[in-house]
Amino acid sequence: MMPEPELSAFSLEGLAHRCRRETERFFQRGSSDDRYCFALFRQAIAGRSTRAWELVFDQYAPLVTGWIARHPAFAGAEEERAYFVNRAFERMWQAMTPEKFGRMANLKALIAYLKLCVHAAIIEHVERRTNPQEWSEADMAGDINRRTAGREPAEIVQGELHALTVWEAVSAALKSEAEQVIARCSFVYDMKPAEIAADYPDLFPDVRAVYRQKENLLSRLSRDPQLLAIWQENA
Amino acid sequence: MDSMEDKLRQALYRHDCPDPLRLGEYHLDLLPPPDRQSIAEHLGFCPHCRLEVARLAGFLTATRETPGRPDEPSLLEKVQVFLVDLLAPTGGDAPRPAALRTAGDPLQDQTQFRVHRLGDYLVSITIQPPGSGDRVAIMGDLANLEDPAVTFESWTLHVWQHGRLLQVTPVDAGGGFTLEIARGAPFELILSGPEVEIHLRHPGHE
Repeated sequence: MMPEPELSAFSLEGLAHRCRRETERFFQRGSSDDRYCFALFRQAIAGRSTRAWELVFDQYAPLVTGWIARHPAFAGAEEERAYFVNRAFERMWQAMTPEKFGRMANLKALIAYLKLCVHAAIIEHVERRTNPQEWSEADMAGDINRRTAGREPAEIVQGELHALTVWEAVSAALKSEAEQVIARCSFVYDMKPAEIAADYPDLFPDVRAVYRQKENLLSRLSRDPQLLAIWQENA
Repeated sequence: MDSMEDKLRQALYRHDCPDPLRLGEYHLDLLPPPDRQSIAEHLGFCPHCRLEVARLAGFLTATRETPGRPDEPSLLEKVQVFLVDLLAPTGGDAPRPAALRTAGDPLQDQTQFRVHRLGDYLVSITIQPPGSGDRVAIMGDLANLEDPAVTFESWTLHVWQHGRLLQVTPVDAGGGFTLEIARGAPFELILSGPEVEIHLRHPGHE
């Protein structure tokens, strides 16, 4: 038998072809030789070859489309699958640096990352366009209504600066570990007093203790000159 | 007017949560140790991110439709691949097989004829000049030297040019195939059979 050709001897098209056939073999037999697809990704990411990236896109777009359709938040995203296919590949192209590629052990790791990009593209889209109150508890997106919801990028940056300023002022006013926990859990993570009491039994013997300390804290924060100045500035 | 609690929540809600991609990179163990440590600490506090990671984990493992399972290639029934440069000088480096016979000037007006011995297979390729048109005609023939009775119904020809798969056509039972391709640009013909592939590359010409 003749020696096996080195992967570096293949053209991009040849790699794409072998990648496609090995993917077919995977679906038919449950096993495949992933070196060709991995080499195609390497050319695209580590080699920053846009032509290789186009071939990766052609190869994996159908798979990505299927993932999008099955993502739990897709139904509420009110956008076409093709839109998220493009966003997911864009995210991967931007985020997967040659250095990060070096940490990818095999094709399975790359495919998992591509799937992560699908997830991120959908979640970020939903966060940007959705009023947090619209999500029901049953939704996948029920807890993703973070502060960026419905805001433009410039507003997000401004919001982050504002958040940091407010948090510094709040932190300076805290007098105990219990207050730190109340501030973080109540104002940052929107947890109910009962949830806080359940998560921190060492600090709060019961839910009433949370209510009491939270009330004291809010009362003090309402008079805090630093916070009053921030509200004044942002009025 | 908003209460103090409302104002604080409006300003601070999840202000320190990592974005979904970063959380996912944590889950996939792709972050350097300091970043990993910082997100691990955040997850200790934040119920929203814990839930998001759990849901992401569910999504990543929900379906078994992901190719690329890291099988050992040595354990697989391998596809034997031959790479052939159609304009390579005779006696190219291994594993490039040597052309057994060549005729004609491949760059211009004469018919190019090449025969390659590739393991058990013999491939002959004839490339006809475009004449006044802009299409080059290609005729090929496959034969199995070990078993001349082998037929080629299950083989296909894939034609690539400009980084695109232009066409997929069946090879006839006798191993013959024909096609036309635009003059000038490089192209690659890939003959795919059961567990065998032959990649025929041409650098193109003006």
